[in-house]
Amino acid sequence: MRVHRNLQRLGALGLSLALGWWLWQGVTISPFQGITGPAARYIHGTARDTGAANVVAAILFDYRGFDTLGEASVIYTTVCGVALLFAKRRYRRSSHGLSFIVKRGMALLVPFILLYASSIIVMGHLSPGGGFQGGAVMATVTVLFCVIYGSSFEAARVSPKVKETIESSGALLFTAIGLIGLVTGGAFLTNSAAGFPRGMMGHLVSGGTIPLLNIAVGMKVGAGLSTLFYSMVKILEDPTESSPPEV
Amino acid sequence: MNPVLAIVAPFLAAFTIPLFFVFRKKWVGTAVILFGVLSALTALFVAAGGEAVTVMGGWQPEVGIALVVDSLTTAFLILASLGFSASLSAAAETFGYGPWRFYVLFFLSWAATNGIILTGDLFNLFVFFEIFSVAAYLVVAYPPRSWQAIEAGFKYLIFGTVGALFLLIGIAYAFMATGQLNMAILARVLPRAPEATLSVVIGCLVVGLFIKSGTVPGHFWLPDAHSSAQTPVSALLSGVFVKVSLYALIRLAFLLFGSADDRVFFVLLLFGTVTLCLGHLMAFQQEDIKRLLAYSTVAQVGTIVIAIGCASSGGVTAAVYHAFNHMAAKMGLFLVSGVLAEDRASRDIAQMGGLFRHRPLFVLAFCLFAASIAGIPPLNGFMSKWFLLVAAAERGALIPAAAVVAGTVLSAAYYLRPITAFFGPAETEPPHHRPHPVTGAIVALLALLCLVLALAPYIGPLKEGLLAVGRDTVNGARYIERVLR
Repeated sequence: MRVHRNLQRLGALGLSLALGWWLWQGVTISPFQGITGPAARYIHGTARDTGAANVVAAILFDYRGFDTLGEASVIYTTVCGVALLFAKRRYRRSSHGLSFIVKRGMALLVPFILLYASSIIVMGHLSPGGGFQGGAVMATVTVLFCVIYGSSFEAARVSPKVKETIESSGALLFTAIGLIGLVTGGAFLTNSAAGFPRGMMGHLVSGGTIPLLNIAVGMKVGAGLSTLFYSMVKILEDPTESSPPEV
Repeated sequence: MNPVLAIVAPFLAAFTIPLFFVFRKKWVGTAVILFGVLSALTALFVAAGGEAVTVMGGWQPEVGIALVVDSLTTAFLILASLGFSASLSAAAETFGYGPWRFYVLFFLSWAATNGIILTGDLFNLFVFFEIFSVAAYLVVAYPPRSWQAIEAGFKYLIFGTVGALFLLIGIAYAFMATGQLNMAILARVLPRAPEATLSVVIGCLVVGLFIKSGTVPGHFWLPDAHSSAQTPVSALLSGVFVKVSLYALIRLAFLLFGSADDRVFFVLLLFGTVTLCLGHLMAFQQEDIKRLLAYSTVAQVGTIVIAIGCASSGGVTAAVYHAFNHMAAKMGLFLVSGVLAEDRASRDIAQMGGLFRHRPLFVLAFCLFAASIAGIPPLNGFMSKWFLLVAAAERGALIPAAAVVAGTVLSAAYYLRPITAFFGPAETEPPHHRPHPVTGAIVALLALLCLVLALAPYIGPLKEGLLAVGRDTVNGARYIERVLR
């Protein structure tokens, strides 16, 4: 039995090494001849085409904005699915939270964390950051609530329906901006060609649809990750029960 | 009509159904039906609109993301909208509108399917494959109270993730070698990449699509997922989901792999034949009717992969034609066997006695679908297998052709087992007889579709359309020119 298992491990090791060797052989590092192809276009054209200062944001939300709709929808799908799998379970109270000093400290911090998250979202077209990152920071607030105040605190104050509304509205906002571009500019998610103001580069109002799409993605990701966390909190282990609940 | 609307319409459905649930709970059912009709009609309009190329954001295809409609896309858009509509109607009857999250996932998978079919960008293809797969794992795992469904969904998740990783590595290597993601541009520049890189790109993409489509040796998730899922979901899995990965295989094989290295078609022939034989042999041994149908799907995937491996316009025509036939017949088989298994409260074939007297029309439809999928002349399954045999003979692939013929005999043998059981005597009366008017109507429509498809080679426009799919798909230069015009 033991020999058999070791043989299996050796086989797996050999297979992994062979696969790795194959992938390593395929790596091509051509001598650097300057940036070519779409990458060059992105670097040289971002300011002219979109008015955004952040090239990555311009690629994510303008040149390849359709991919971003898809990626945000992957999160949307996951959230919906996890909520579906745990829909029939009810909340259990995990604990009464930590000491009151921690609770007050957290209460003081929350507005600043939210402010920080909003700034990451709103200034996504100016500096590193954007809807995904800011949304994730926003969701950490609700996770901290659970750790510090116990799992029943947030559920009692923010109904899951509110989060669902925010999440779906964000997704709808993204689609609506895309459709406006389709109507006025001739293609889905058209930015400045559809009349969205390009603005002065470096100003808060610039980049056309990019800040709006950042906000939409921020709503989608922030509310979505929070729902995801609280759906999974439902399968808390209950000390009064003998075994953890089956899923 | 702008092709993007075929993707946006189901997305809108998925994003608004939660709002309906929160604010107007009574309207969820109406919204689901209306959005279903809207999504199907949009896709059909896009398909009817003929060839079109549109780039998101109004950029050039190199910089933005292009959507391309050609005859292959048209065919698969029609297939997807037929399959999704049929499955949605059956699901509405079986589940009601209470589980609204199920419908959100349903519409997300619909949007992703249309996205995979329409996109002309390699990374966008991966993104839509992700949405599609995540939604597929979850609809398989629905409802969460049955542990078999959860286990099947989990298995599908593991396999699907491995497949997605292979796809991602392949796309990353293609991007590393060329700096491009548009499929038309890649078709031009990829053949100039070093041979070692090319082998990784093609190898990873083919392995990823094999796992996603359930080709041997990546098929282990398929029988579990198809048999443990609820009936409307099983029908959807077999009818549409498997075909979407095969669509991607057809598209990439002729656009990217064919021009770079045509040894890939030999690999497709080889694995198609193995899949076909294994699927039929495993189906022969099943006692559970849904597992029998699931292994039969594995065999049909093998048949379609063989057709792609013929590397000719005739082969692609056969592949698309067979995909349609399998969609019509297998969706019908899953829906009928779901109803019959519910009546008996068992999926065991030995328990299925006396069902002909109980539900004669359903059993007759089962016989028609089974005859069609086995390939009894003059039904549609025979027609597409005939196309396939001609293409295989032209290619000189005699062993795969012989395997297809032998598989026909085997599948006739294993489909006779449930049929003899249905007509046989019953020990007890079936305990349940819930009426299924909607499922009955869909089964009737699918049977009609089977008959129409059987006549397709004799109906001028349909025949011309099928042949055009083959011609256009093989002609990669035409696709490239249309996108980069």
